[in-house]
Amino acid sequence: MNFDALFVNPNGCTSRQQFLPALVTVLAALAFFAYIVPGRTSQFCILMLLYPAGVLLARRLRDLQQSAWPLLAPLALLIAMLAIRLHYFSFGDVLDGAVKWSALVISAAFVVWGCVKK
Amino acid sequence: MKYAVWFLRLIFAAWMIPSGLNHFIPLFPQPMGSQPLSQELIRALLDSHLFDLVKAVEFIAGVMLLFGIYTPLALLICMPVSFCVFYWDAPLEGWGSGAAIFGDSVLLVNVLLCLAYSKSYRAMFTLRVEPARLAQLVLGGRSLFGVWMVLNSANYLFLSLWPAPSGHEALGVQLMTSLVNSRLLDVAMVIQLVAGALILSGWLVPAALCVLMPVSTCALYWAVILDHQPLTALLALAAFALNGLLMLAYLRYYHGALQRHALSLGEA
Repeated sequence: MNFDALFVNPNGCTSRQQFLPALVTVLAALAFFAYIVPGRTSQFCILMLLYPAGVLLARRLRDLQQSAWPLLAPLALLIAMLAIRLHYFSFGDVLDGAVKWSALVISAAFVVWGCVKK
Repeated sequence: MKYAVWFLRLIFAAWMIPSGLNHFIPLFPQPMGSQPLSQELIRALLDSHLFDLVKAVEFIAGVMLLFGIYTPLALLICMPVSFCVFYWDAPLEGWGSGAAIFGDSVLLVNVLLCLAYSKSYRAMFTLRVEPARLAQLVLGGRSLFGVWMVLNSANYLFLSLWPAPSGHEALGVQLMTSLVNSRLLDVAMVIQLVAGALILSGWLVPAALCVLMPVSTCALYWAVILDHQPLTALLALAAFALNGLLMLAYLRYYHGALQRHALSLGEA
């Protein structure tokens, strides 16, 4: 397996065995920007990582004989969450919190599904 | 090993794209430096619009890396930018500064990624090379270019037989002054001296030509876009053209670096 096949090309499948280490790599990169890089810069870097993370999950879903289109929901929520964190817009404290938690929970659900289901 | 390479590639690409884009669409504050030399250099780069070129390279290389388009080439074109980021952050901002950590990291990650794709660059480091055709003409061009680079850099660094161009137009003078004060011009001249000597001796010619290209490009930008002096512009254009033509003459040694899809260490 190589980088282009896992993180760049959304067409194709990724087995669970290949998915797990690739997922750890993307999560490590996300954690690097979330916890080590300070300021607004890190939020934009995380935004960039949504593409490889999305491709990885899409390929995993396809391997599970599922459509990848439902991934658009967590992707849109994550982009909204980052936009709120960057103060581009706000729906008010309560809704902002809801967007954040729903983005994280739904994304985590897809990740867990990709990890667990054989 | 491949997971470490993927991690570095992800963080490098994810960093380069917003960092390059930030210059054209303001996303976060651009660091303007805390030391007189770093402030002078960044001001000169911004005023001369050379920073547009630097940031465009950063953005394009980042996109290429993230989307797997000519990855070895992207890493190569990013190297001069990474070096300048390192130079600005570490020697100019101060080796012990917070910025230095960032500068060191950018250069280190770029170098490590190049090492991970070393298979793609192997041909560039062939000790003795032969051009595909027009051997005599290429040998003449190579000798002329090598002598020119060695003489020009040796004159600047040691001999002072003729004055180094300092510029006539305001932006040309500003950029050249900042390059001299920051000693970035010294670095460029050392690169020119070493690469020129290699080209002249016929050792590692493709790699030396590749290393010289950013220096030739900056010289061309300074002479043609900023300074507008016919003679220096003509010389810079000739050096750039010679550099480019020689690279074309040794094109087969760059095939690895020009692969659309390349594999890094450990990838299959």
